[in-house]
Amino acid sequence: MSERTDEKPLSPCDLLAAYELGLLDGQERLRFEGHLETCPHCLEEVYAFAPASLLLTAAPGRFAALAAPAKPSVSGRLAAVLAGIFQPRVFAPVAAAAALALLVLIPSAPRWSDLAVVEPLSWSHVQVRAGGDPGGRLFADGMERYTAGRYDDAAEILQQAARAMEDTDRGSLPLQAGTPGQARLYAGVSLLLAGRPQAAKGPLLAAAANPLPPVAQGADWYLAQAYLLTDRPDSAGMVLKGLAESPVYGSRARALLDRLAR
Amino acid sequence: MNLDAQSLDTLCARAQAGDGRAEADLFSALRVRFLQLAKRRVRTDHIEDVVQDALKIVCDRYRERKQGVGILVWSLTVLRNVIGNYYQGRETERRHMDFVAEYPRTAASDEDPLQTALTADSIRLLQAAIRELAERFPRCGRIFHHLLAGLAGGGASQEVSTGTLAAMQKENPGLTRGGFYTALHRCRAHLRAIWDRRQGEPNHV
Repeated sequence: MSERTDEKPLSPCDLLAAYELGLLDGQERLRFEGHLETCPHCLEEVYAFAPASLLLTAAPGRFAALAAPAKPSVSGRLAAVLAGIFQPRVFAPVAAAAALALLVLIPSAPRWSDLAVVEPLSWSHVQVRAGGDPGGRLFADGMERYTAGRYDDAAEILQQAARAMEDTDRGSLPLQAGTPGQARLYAGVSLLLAGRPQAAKGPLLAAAANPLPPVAQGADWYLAQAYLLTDRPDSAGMVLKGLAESPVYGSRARALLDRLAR
Repeated sequence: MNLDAQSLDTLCARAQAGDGRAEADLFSALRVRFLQLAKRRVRTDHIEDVVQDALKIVCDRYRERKQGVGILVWSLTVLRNVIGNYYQGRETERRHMDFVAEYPRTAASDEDPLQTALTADSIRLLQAAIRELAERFPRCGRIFHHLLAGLAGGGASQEVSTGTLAAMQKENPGLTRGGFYTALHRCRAHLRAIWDRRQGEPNHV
């Protein structure tokens, strides 16, 4: 598929995505709904994609950062494709500016941040002894700073570690000190503990997509705290609901949801 | 177009405010669309039951719908859940109860479609699809990024689409609103294809 996006003349069907995302004004919406009565194809499309559209409109914040273009190195991209692991997310300056603008625009009236529970995520030193590759060494270094409470340093090093680990073929290493997912999780937690919840969202969102439940659920828990600290209770609630059945975070998530509801 | 006509979301807002006529119009309009979709998927003698079940859930829950979520998309998710349950019921019936000809009633009446959609798996699947979209179609990634960040920031529909159009015009100054909608439509088609592939069932119910 090539990326041609704006040469075709507009047809009623072209309003489909804008309708699903709630971007049409009253008259446009009415016109498109009229079109749906006579276009079974569009109605089928809305039906077929409804769960995804619902998620995108109900929790847009969970997906916005992931849509920001990445700038991975060529070797990193190749390694990621081969290893089936996710890509490094280095946000474009425009995305960072948009995030900053959003942070400034978010009303600060309710103190949702008071509900946030920001405690260090535990880590065993034993697990980091075997760091042989550059990414692993960085990871071990980052985790040493993390356990020493030097969270700003830890966050920076752990994000470097995640990128380095993704650029390395680690399949041949006998023992691995951490994974890119863990590095991003602890980088996000470090940023939260350093009082930078907005910056924490990027690494936590990336870690939340990790296939390993301990990493993904840990990231979801701290992501919910980041949302609370940035006065985004709706987004926090959505994330917490996804954690309600988690064996590790379930009871805490449900308790926090109760407090949010009150 | 009938000048008195109102969009489903407007009808829904009026119905939520207690307007009985708007509520009747809303359910009548949803019923027509539900029937259209159900008749392609469900045995003829079961269509009415499936549509009634779905409408009952919509009726019970639409007032709790999250702000910003369109009523049609939301209610079609309800219909999908009911039809999904119908197929599950049919499968159970086929395996264990061959002698029962009746359509088993769905157990979906207590389900909130948003909660059903918001499982960790479905969020992760869509996150992975969005990430792949941004990687394979960077311009689509940027469009979705601007739109979703705008929606997450609580922007109104016009504000969000105008802001995204302005951002994309920095790359392509000749981009019109129509061209932007066409671009968005194509990006959505890419996302849908990726999402379908990742679900592993391109022609799901």
